[in-house]
Amino acid sequence: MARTRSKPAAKVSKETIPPETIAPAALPPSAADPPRLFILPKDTSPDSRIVTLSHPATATPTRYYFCPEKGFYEFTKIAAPRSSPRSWLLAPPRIQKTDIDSKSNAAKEDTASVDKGYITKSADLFIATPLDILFLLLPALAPKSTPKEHQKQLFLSLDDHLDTLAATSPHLRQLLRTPKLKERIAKRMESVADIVDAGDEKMYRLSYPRLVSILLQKAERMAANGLPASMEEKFVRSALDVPILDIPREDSGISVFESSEAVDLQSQTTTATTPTGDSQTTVKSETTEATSTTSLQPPAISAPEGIPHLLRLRTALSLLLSLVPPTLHTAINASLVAPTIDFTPLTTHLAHLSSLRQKSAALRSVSDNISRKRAFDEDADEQAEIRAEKRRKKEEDEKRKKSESRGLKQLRKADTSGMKKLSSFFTAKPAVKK
Amino acid sequence: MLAIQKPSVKSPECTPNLLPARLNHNGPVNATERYWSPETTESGETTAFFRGRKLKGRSVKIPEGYKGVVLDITDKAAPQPKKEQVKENADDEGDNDDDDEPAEVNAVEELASFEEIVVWGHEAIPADTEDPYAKGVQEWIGFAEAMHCEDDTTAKLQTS
Repeated sequence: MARTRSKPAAKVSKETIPPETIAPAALPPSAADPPRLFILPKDTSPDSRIVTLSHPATATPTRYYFCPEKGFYEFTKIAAPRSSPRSWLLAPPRIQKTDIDSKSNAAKEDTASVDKGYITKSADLFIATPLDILFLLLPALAPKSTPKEHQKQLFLSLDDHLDTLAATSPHLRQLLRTPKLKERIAKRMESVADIVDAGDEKMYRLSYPRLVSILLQKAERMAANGLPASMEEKFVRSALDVPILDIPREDSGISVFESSEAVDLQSQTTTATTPTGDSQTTVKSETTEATSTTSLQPPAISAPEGIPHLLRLRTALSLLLSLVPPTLHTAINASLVAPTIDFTPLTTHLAHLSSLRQKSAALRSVSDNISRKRAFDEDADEQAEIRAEKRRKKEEDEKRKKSESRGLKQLRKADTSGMKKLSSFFTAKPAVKK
Repeated sequence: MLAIQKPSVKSPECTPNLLPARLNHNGPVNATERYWSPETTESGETTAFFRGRKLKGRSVKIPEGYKGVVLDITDKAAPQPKKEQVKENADDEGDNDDDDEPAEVNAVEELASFEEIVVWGHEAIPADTEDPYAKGVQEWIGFAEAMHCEDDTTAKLQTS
């Protein structure tokens, strides 16, 4: 009986009341197709369009922004990672709020709803970044299939090339109506193709050396400006990171051995020190002092001369190749050798680093096994048994607690030391009083 | 194909705020000063309170030469300057003419424009390098420009 009045019922009734009382003017139902946020180039012509073309490398339909004057732009979508949910709140501008306030009342009537504030669930932001027309042309210039690769590609007229392109992306045909674009395309085509004059028409065929030199030029420029900080961190710094050791524990002999050996190895490669955390830097300095063979240069990437640049170049190239049809990849990679550019020092250095990393990983796993307080692998079943036992006890305890009556539970809190037991009243009369 | 329609008057400005929470709603809300009033202190810190939680914001400017717009993709056909009428019915178009029909141009309304976005974090300013939004806006555009600028030098060399 007592349980019928238990807490949950009371809580529920309490909670249901407030929402009804506060309930604001009903929010309009969620819009099915909310507006989206874009970052677009400024001062584009009014003839600009958002078009769907097939992606040069993957051939999937992709949206591009096209301005007859400025060329193509590619959309990069930035979405919030799953780990950190986000939403847009479009708020009226906050700086001019005071002076707008008076005006806005009048303006509110005719402007869109976004003016007063708008919420979109998805936190997507689309950024239009420039795209070289060249990449859009490559699928047409590239050989259609691998067996053809051995044959000589045929010279084709510009219109024929464009026809093959337009077959996959119908929007392109409409864009080609603007004569300016065709001019641009022709100019761009000339830079990557061999040209033959056939009467009044020019015929084009992809020229690998030219394509490679253009890609290299682009990569050089990307590397010269410096990769964006986050990319630099991810692709260059971490790749050239000489493995930094675990914090050596004084008590374990193995880690001491490990650190000294690794420092020896590091000294061969003139030390890369990119501290990732405080603890590691301190460890680093300790080891360097101990061996005094290395110099401490905190944030600089130290690798042999030219290596970082080569790695940046290669990162840039791999990015560029993601826009190039896969049928061209082997040919391009094949021509990225000694005379044009020499990646061998980089590959040898990277191989050296990876071997270092493997070594340190192997050593670390050994030291880990020793120093971990709790061994996971051995007598795991024994531990599981103990844990199961504990759980069982706990469950039993809980069950007992639950089955207790409310009266008993409350009585437990009271001080019963001076009280008589209830049962004492129901004993047989004491014989003394007779 | 989509065409962006510029509003006849200048589109209203707004400030997109990237809240550190997902709101399961799409639609207009009344973001009056009572509910949303970010403040900037002298030290340049921007704070706001959203449902009792303190948020700190980092404003990210849209790079030079770009602008932010809020676009609403509609089903309405865009009023076209009827360029299609001037079909240069060249011989090579022939059988592909039917491809032209489906590519109608839909209108995209520009609802608002913005010059900066504000990325908010719970109690702390979101990290500059880690936040994908700050990174994308600040780094990616410049990088893409380096990646895709069409070298006029080479083009000239080869045409000559």
